[in-house]
Amino acid sequence: MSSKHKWTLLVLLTMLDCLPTFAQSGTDWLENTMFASGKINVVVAVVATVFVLIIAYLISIDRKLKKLEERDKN
Amino acid sequence: MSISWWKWLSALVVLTTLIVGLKTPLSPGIPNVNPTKLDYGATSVTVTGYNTHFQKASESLQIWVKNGDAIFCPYETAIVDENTMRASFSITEVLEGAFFDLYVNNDIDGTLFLPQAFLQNGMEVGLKPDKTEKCLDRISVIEAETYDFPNQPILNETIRNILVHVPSWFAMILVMLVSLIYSIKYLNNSKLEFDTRAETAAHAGLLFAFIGLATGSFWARFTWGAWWVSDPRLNGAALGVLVYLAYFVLKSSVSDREKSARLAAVYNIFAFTMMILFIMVLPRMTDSLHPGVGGNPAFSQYDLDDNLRLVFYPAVAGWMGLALWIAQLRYRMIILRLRRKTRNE
Repeated sequence: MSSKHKWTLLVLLTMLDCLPTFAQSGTDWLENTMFASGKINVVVAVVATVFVLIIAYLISIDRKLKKLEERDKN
Repeated sequence: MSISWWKWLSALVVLTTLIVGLKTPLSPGIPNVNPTKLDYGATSVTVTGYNTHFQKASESLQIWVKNGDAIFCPYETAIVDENTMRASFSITEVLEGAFFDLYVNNDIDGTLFLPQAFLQNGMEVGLKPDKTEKCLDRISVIEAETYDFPNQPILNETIRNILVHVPSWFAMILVMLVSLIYSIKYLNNSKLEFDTRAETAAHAGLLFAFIGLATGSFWARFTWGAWWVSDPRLNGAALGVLVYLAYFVLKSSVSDREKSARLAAVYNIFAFTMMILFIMVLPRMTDSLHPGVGGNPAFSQYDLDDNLRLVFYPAVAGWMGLALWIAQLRYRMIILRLRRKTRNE
């Protein structure tokens, strides 16, 4: 596993770790936001997640291409 | 960071416009009435509002229907809840037209308007309509304080689609223009690199054209009532896509690289011209359901709404950036592939 992947995994795990704390620290901001105004924020979150992941995919392709281009030059 | 700033920026801008486009509330409106006919004599109708404040502003609430110049007020009204009210009209006069427009006015929502809300039933429509007495006292004019999107009849919440559907077409036109420029450049100096650039840009353009067709089709189904209507604008868009599909067929059918590049470059000039003709010029010459066609400029009905423009223009710029990014990715991929191929040979 490359060091970059390790970092991503670490960040993801830390985020997962934080989830229960969000839930416990109460019916606080996350619940309040998500259940507010007809739950439209859930839709916003889903659309944003899809879009961000597509962009992340584009970025990863871009980086890989850059690497290949550099290797090609040498 | 190895990724150029404009890629980050366009991704961020599109994400922001998506979120703002979904989060912004719709201004108050009247989506429907029941029944949709006013009979000779007395008729009771239920008026359904959306994001309205019938109860809160009940003191100032006024409702009336308009037929030509004649204004009719109800003899009785009842407020059910914030978004529902009932009104009873009694109309026996001679009318000017067959349809009644509905107006609701109050201190919070301002004037709400539903054109051709009711059809007359059993009344006399004549050249000499009866005059009606003035029945309205004070019509409140509301200065918009909240940030919201216009509530258009029929469109309703779908007006947000304009932030996705239209930018995808604009992005398509931009990358097709880039493709055209590289085709002309190729014809000038015969560098195969330019041919690849033209092809990959057209490829990205096709992706965005399909996004535009699909989103438009979905939007049409729930506003015009059909997935596809035989409309000059829609058929023009489909033809434009076909013209570009032919570009790829032509390109792949000639095996000689130089010859295929030259042919494709010449065809691309034709394709771009035809696409612009099909989607922008021809539809304007006839009647169409689609905005921006048949003499009505594209954004006339939203012209007054600066709120929508504030999100719309950045969305267009962001989508254009995304299209250029995708085109560039494909170009770099193909160049790499070609280089490896030539090295191996």
